[in-house]
Amino acid sequence: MKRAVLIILTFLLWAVAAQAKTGVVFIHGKGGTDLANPTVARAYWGEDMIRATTKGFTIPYLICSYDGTQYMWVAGGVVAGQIYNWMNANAIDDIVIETHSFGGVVIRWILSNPTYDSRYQPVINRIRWVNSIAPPNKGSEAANLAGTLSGSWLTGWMVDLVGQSNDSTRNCSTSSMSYYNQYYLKGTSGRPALPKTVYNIAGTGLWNDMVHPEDYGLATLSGVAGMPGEDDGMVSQYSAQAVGVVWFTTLANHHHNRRNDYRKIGDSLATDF
Amino acid sequence: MKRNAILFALLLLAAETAAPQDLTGVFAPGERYEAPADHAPANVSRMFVRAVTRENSSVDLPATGGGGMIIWAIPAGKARVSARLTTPSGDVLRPRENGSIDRGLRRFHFDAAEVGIDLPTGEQEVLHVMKTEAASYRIDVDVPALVVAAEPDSPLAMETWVTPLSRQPGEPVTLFAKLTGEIGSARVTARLGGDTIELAEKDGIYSATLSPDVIGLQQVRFEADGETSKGARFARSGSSEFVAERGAARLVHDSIRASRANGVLRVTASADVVIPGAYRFDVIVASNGTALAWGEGVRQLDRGANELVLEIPLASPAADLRLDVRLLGLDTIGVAGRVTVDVHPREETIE
Repeated sequence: MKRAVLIILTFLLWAVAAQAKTGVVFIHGKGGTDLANPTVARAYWGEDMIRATTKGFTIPYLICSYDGTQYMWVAGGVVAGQIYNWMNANAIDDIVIETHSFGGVVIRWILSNPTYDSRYQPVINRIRWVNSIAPPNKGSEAANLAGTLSGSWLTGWMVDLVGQSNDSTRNCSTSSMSYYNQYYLKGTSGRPALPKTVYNIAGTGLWNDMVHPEDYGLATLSGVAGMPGEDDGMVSQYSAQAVGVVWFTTLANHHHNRRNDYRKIGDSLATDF
Repeated sequence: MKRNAILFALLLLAAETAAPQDLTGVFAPGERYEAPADHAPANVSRMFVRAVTRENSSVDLPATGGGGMIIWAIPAGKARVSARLTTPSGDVLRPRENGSIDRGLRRFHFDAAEVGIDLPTGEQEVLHVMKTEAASYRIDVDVPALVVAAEPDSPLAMETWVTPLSRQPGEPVTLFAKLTGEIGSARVTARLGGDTIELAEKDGIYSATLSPDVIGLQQVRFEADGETSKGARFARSGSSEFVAERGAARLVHDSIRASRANGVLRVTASADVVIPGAYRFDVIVASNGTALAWGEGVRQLDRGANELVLEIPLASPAADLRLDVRLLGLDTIGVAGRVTVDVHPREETIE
């Protein structure tokens, strides 16, 4: 009798699987307020990353766009709202999430706090898993540096000079992430597990094509900020791998590991479909 | 392995029900219980910061020698920085020179836009001294700028941290700095808000305890200046952070009770609320250093005394339990209270 029930259950699951409509969601990292503009958010990833991941745009996809200067709970509300509307409008019930940098923290906020917003749990229910590229799960020493340089501690005009260590940058300092990991976020050691699996992809390279000035900038950040171990110029490997399952590491630096150029990361993401 | 996860996901989908008010779960077998750390991991700095103004366009950059030095000039506005570097031996890298590996001096540029931290828009300039002498370099910059000098290979570093990471109103805050390497003498100061604080050295650790009247995430900047044991000048700049909680509510320590029946642990607590609103009542259950189960539930709390109750399925027969009880703000993110108690379910009393 038990075997018969098991066989029927298995059959039903496969039947559901056959009917599941899969989609992919991209969640970008921190940046400017203009990342709330869908066009800017799309450019963040680059067309080839989106094309590769969606197998030539054949997989339904959503590119989330939120103000890249906000705290994770502010960004999380915007992101969850966009996913909620998209999945319902398109009957998507099997979602693979692709995140880059702070986007990995934003989705962790949603996964860790399902009762914070009524849209979180329905979104979580439909997530298959999360692929998180270079997430600052334990913070970023580069964000610490931004904080060190900001403010009026040197001269008054420095406030305008280094501008604002804005909310998303403050969110990503190693102290802030230590605080949030202990009280609000799940998935690090000693904390409750996340309800869905996160596969992390850490960047371990700095000098990629050397044609782009970003390589020099990221190498400078890495050296000045004092990132321990390997890093991608913005996020250290230890931090990226502090949550979830290591999928692979990439030599693509923080500029390139959200794109499908120096290393074909989009091609790897597409193997999920 | 990822393919197998789809079956698991579908199982969850099939079992989907209305989201419960409270969430509970268990830890993986053998997972260690970890109490929140008293402070964030120490920030480690091998760099220092100097300001260049129109009135003072030249600054000395002391190097400890032996390793490389990265000198990053961040312009105050959109103006392009053009720096002139003079080495202790008199070699000069002029503003339009890119330098070379043979000279041991190189110049690079990059745009701020793609780096990812908040910098003024425009071109940044970086000078690289491939191997420094233990002496002062001089940089002359033609526009107001911040100059950041880092010695990434140097054994001389400043570690900084602040306790506690989550500071309740009235609690003292202690600032710490530790200098590693061959230190001869040093002076360490910190800035919190507008105040400059002198840190006192004891057993190699510099510290100061204060009771600042602040609320929210606070950043403390540290500055160290001194000489190595070989007489070379050095400088280091660093930072650390803590959260000054706003005192929105308080968990009453001796109010926490636990009882167990039919495989369910029932935890009760009292909270004094100053700012009414949405809070989350969190409990982690552990025994003998092993995390067992957790529960959490959102509560709308009124001003004044509130009673909190949470029921957590607990399969473990462990007699001695440690409860890590938290009250977290949701309207405004912050830790309203945290209490750890050891309970013995037989007596149902607090140790």
